Order: sequence, then structure tokens, then C-alpha cells
Amino acid sequence: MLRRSLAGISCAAVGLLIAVVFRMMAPVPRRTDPLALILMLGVFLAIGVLRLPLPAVLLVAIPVSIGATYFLRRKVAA
Amino acid sequence: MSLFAVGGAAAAVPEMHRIAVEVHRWMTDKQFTDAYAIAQLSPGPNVLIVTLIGYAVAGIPGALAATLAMCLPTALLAYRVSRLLNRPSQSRWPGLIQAALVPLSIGLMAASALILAQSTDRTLAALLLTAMVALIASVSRLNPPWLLLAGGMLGFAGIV
Repeated sequence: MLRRSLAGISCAAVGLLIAVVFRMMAPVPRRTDPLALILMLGVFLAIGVLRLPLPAVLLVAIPVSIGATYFLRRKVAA
Repeated sequence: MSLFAVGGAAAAVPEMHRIAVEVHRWMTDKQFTDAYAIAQLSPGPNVLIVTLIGYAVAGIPGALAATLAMCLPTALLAYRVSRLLNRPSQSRWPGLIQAALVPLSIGLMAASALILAQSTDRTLAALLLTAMVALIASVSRLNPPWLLLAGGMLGFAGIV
């Protein structure tokens, strides 16, 4: 009985998580840069589909993201 | 591990799943999603999931150890960083780093959703329920607990 209710709750919880992702994603494309989309998709594929370890992925993704954002902003400012 | 959870506990879910279910086989896929559901349902922060994993592995001491290990390092880091940010400065680095981390954390949360969906949504009805909740929560301002409750009732009725 508890098992069955929990199964229903976890389905709903996953649905809520998806909704949060949608909400956060909404402003990203409008901020023009395809960079954010590429990084987002890259992290999603690396962790969600390929199941690579998180620290390894972030060790690559964070410097790349910060570096790219920095250069993009400098270009915009110049 | 908590230091890597850019974007909240939801971002760390894939890594927890990988370690607890795939690498060490501490718990089954089903137990993991149950723990996630309970952590979502109970009031309080969603990091509670680590308490439940700790409990499943090593009982009460495990639960305490997991909670401390998850919360203490980040609490200290947050304290240091907020002191740094409160110092008046002209630096544009904080804003830049924040902007750079947002897409990464969205990607991580999407990965969590995928992994959890793979283990809970085994039937068509379950998949439909997830899709419905995602849709309702996206377009309306309905309070999340109501949706969780509705899911629980559907599960109880044996539909999902």
C-alpha cells in the first residue's frame, strides 16, 4: 500500500523536477548565446546518458564555461 | 560531493544514483526513487535524500554521517563566499561566474530528471502521470505538494 502510493509520488516528483528545468530553461535561449545551450546539452548528455562521474565532467565544464563567458562578454563590451 | 552540487541537491542526484546504485549496489533503483520521493514529500530541504541513503546503508549513524558530510563543507564554503561577496569591490567576476554556472546546473538537473524518470516510469500510466505533472506545474502556479498528493492517491488507487 505504502509502496504503491510512493510509486505515484515519485512519478509526480519527477514531473515537478522536469517543470523546474523547463522554467529555468525559459530565459536561456533569449539571452542569445548558443554557448549556454551547448554547455547545457553537453552536461546533460555526459551525466544523464553517458553516466560519466560528476567531478570529472565539472572539472572540464566549469573552466570551459567561465572562460567562454568571459571572452563573449569582452567581445560584447569591445 | 556536495561541493559539486551546482544548482542544489537536484544537481547531485545523478552522482548519488551512480555511486549508491551502480558502483556500490547499496540500494536498488526502486529504493533510490522511493528515497527521492520521500525527500520531496517531507518538509525541509531536498538534501534529506542523503539522510535516507545513509540510513539505508548504515542505519542511524549512517544517516547522521551522510547529513553532516553533505551539509558541513558547503555551509562553510557558503559562509566564506558570502563574506567575500559582501566586501565592496568593482569586480565583475562574481556575476560572470554565476552566469557561467547557470547553464551547467540546468543541464545537471535535466540529467537528474532523466535518470529518475528511467527508474520510476516503467509503465505507460506512470509516464503519463509524470508528463501531466510536468505540464501542470509548468503552466500553473499550483502548489507542488498538491501534485505530489495527487500522485500518491493515484498510486494508492493502483492506477500507476
